[in-house]
Amino acid sequence: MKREPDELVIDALRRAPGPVPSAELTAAVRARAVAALRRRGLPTWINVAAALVLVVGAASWLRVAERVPDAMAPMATMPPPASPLSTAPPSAPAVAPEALSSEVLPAQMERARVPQKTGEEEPGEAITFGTPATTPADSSLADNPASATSRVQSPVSVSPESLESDLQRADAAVAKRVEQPSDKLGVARPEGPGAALDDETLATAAQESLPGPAPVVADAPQEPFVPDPALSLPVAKPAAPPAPAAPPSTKSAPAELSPAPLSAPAPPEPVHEQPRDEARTMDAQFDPRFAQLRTALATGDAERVKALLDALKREVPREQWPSDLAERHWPR
Amino acid sequence: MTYATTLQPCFWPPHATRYRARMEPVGQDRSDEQLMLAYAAGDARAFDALYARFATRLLRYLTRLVQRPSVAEELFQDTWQRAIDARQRYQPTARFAAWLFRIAHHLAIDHIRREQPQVDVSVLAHFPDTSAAPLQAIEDEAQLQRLVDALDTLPAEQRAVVLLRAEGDLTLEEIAATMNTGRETIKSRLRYALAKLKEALR
Repeated sequence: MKREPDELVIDALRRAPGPVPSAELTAAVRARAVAALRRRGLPTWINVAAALVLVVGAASWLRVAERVPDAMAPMATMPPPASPLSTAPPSAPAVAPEALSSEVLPAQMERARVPQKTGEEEPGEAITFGTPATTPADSSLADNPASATSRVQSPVSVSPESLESDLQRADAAVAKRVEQPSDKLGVARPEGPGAALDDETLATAAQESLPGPAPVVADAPQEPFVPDPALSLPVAKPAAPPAPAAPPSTKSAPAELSPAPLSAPAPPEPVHEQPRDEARTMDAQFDPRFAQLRTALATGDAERVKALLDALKREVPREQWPSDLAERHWPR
Repeated sequence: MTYATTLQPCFWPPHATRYRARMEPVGQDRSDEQLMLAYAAGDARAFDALYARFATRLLRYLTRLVQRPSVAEELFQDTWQRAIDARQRYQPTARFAAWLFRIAHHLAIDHIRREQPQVDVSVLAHFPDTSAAPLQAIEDEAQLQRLVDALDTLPAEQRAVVLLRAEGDLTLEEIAATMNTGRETIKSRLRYALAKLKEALR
């Protein structure tokens, strides 16, 4: 059998003399192999347990990380303490002047009343940090309307300009309410002889007949705001119409005594004692005939004084008379 | 001495295969791959059987490739150590011989490259004439020694191909995979190397 030359060479190389592993080398390799078997890896259950610990730990960390940013977000966005608007507590009276200006203040108070009315907003929702300059004031007002009212009334926080505008608004409201009695009486603008009396004269007479700011107190506005007398407008001016006012529908004056025609003359009713009523007293004291009586007394017109006294005694109970006129001209 | 080993298809998962290999008796009827799986499963005797099969061939391969016995012994131990460390990752997708000689070859080539950065390939231009006389049977010790001496004169790449073919009993494809080269390149190198060896024997 003839072999291929290449195979002859290969076979000769295999049969050629060569090195043989020594006993020491063999022992060293076998020792390594046996040692490798002895230091086998960790059991499988340890690896599985470690993997489970890692997974559970990662999941827990993720859950915590999802909650922590929500809780830390307001603190993270909290502006530096340089801004007085955002760092001041809600009940602190220090508010920027522009926040309480005449244009912003009513809107803020109106917004502050909204949560009380609806009750839909939660307190936590209104707490915001790091918002624009007007937002903290709005949110604080929404949180605590009482504090907003205290801020409005606080002399420390109110600027002079806003105070003046507020006072003017309050005076206008007072004057509007003071006008109501005459409106109730249906008084028309005087014509005829009564028209000769100018407003100032009647106002002076009315002030003399009034014991003080009783009309204002009797029908004062509901706001706790008390205007400064130095800045308030004359309150009694609109309360003294120049024309003799007709009594309410329940009362009517004789045609000859009332210089102005009554818009709705009614038959006279019998006079009877009524319990002293503040409202009625105020209405009676604002009767223009008292002013006319004072004018007649001042001018010395005895005939007119007598006619007015008779009419007033007949129509207005003594308790409702001004005290000075009652003591002087209707003694008990 | 036969180097033929059968590569059995593995349909079992690795741990089951290793368990089955561990339960089987250690003997000559078991393939190299089964022995390696048994060793990976903790059977030290399986390693002894593998070592008995491949130790001499591996050391001869390394000694003739690096041409320094002391270095060859170091590489020999390193090769076995690599095989021991990689026992858990071993998969019987290829022959154990190819896997083991690939480890040894890479270690040897790394060493050769460190010692001889540039491999002299000029000898490839000198192709010996092998048609002069037919090669007779190599019987005497003198011829074998001349053959070994001629092997030492071959370039490292050709020497590695011849040794992988002779000691590792690897096919051309396995040699190509071991050396990360194409099959035709390996075939050409082998042809050059054998031609030189034949010329040395005449």
